[in-house]
Amino acid sequence: MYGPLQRFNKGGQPRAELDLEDNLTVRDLLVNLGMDMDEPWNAALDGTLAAPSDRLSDGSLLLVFPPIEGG
Amino acid sequence: MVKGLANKILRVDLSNGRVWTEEQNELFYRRYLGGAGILGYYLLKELMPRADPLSPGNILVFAPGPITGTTMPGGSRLCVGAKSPLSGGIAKCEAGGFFGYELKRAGFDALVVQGKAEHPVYLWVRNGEVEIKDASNLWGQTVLETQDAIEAELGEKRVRTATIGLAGENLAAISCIMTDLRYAAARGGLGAVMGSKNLKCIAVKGKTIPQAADPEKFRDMARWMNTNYMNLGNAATFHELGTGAGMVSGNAIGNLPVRNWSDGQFDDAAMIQADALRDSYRIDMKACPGCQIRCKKVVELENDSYRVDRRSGGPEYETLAAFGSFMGINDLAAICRANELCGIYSLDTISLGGTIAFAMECFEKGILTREDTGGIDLRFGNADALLKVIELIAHREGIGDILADGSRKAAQRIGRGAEEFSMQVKGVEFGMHEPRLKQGLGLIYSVAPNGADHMTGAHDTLFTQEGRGMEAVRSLDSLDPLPANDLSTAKVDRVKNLHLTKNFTDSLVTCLFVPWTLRQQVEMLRALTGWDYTDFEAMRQGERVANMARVFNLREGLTAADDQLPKRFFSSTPRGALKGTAIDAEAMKRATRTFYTLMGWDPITGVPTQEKLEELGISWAVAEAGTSTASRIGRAES
Repeated sequence: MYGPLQRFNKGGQPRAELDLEDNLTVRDLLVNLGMDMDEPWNAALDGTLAAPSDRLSDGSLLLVFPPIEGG
Repeated sequence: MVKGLANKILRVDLSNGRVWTEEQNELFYRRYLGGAGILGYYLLKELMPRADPLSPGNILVFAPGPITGTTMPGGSRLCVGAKSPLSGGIAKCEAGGFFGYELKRAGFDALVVQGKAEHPVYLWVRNGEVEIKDASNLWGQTVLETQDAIEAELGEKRVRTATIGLAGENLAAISCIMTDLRYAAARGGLGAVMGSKNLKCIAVKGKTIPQAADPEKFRDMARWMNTNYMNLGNAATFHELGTGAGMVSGNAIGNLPVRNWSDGQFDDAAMIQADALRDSYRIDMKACPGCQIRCKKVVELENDSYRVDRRSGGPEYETLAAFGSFMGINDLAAICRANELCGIYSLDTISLGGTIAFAMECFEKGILTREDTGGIDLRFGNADALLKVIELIAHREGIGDILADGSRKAAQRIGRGAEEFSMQVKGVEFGMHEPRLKQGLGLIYSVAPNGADHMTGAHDTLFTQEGRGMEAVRSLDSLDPLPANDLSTAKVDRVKNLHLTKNFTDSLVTCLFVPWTLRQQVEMLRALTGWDYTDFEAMRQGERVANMARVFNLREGLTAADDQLPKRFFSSTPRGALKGTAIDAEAMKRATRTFYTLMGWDPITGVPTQEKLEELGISWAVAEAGTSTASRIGRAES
């Protein structure tokens, strides 16, 4: 997890390996982590832009970060 | 007299040395506000149609906004514009720092410069007084050297400046104007316009504090933002890292541009990210007046080859990407040095990045050879080549002379199929955000009057799912999350209305990184001026600015054929997150026509209807535009 969103990750760390129940969606996971879902975020699941309803699978890599604009 | 404004516009004709002030009435300010509104007005009203952008006839406008010069967070900026030597249409950009703030406090809502001085000069504007001073001894000096020399000559400290370096003097169409050494009015070649007028620098000092109609409300708003910014938008990230925190994540979703848009993956993204900079060469963060976000990086370094002076600031996201992934370079020290070179020579880092990446691709394809480059191995990834070519461009020597006017003109001069690799719209290279990912932004890249501009477009990934990001568009009656690659009418409507709000913001001139809502910007304008200003007027203002720019471009000879993305975006990247994803050419064509229609323009030609211009109170612009534009608007009407 990147930037200020890192505070929601397990232990407040940038990276964490998690054992998860089957069939969780991206949204489920973030809710389980206690993330404020009002906070603007994007996620990449295994290398592509993810929708909240995308399902995680064994070995999935999820990056969560603030949306990028301007600059 | 409008509260909060200076109520004076400073005019300078360098051809005859005449200086005068203009007083416009209250309705003028209510109709055009400031910034981009005042720019559009003067370009249409006073620039002779089809004037050469580098002739004395071009008009260079420095326009703060109503909010500029106050202590409102995000209220230090100004809009700078002219007819662009890069596109032949409008050049409009916004710059931060203290220059705009000081110009307003010196007693002016705008400075309009015309003509050409016989020899190099600079303007000294101090508390309502103006002098045209000799700058012969400054010509050829860097932006940093010029600052030191002017402060020494004037015997003043903290003089705020807008300055050009060698690239502006040498009329490079990718040159910019540097404000306060490390901020830039970057896009469209404004440095060359200033250079063509023999105007080296504008130095400003002012002490008149704008007085709001409702000072208590105004102060409360500033206090509220200073208390709450860390919980709003991306301000917390900007505060900690500045821009450029999203290289790795951008690479992961396909937003990060790679090797002149030819690739979709940059394995060294972490090496050019803002946290890598924080942990290496960043020594400080600086703020514009009144702002606690402090997003401006300051770097300092010294190695065997060069040192980077802290006064030049540090690279922003656009620069980190343009000199990094876009050229396949992972050497952060070299990127910092390249950023400094652009600052001291006054070069737009985006167009320069786009142009050199174009040349690198031409070199790799054998279109350019070592013979053309003077022996430079101009391959992707060669940081040393980047630094050498910047020097050549600023001095207009060798291959640098060909590249100094941007990739479109360079491709025309090079020939041999180089045009295919010139990635620009209207001659203006792209901001560093992938239109194959953010396709609504892709639409704005193609239709924006000032070329492939990333600042007045919707960044689609902000609005793909529920959450606070959606609030900004819900207030525009765009209610549902939409995929980033969607180009439906609902998306075009969202994109259009966000484009209009940003044109309003550029008239007020507030900073897009200070997370004011549209409603709050209207509230601050009400508190400042005492007007019963409404959200409706704000949207109208955005529409007026967009239409003035459109009419200006039509008048200067641009057409709907110039609203085109390069072909490359209609096929996918060979690898990375966007492998298999391209823009559908037919869908983009439909979206463009829908955009024209929703704007009240002819759906095929993109020409505003007479009724639309009358509705916006700018039908005078057609008369000013001359017969050919008038007849085209007449045709669109029928």
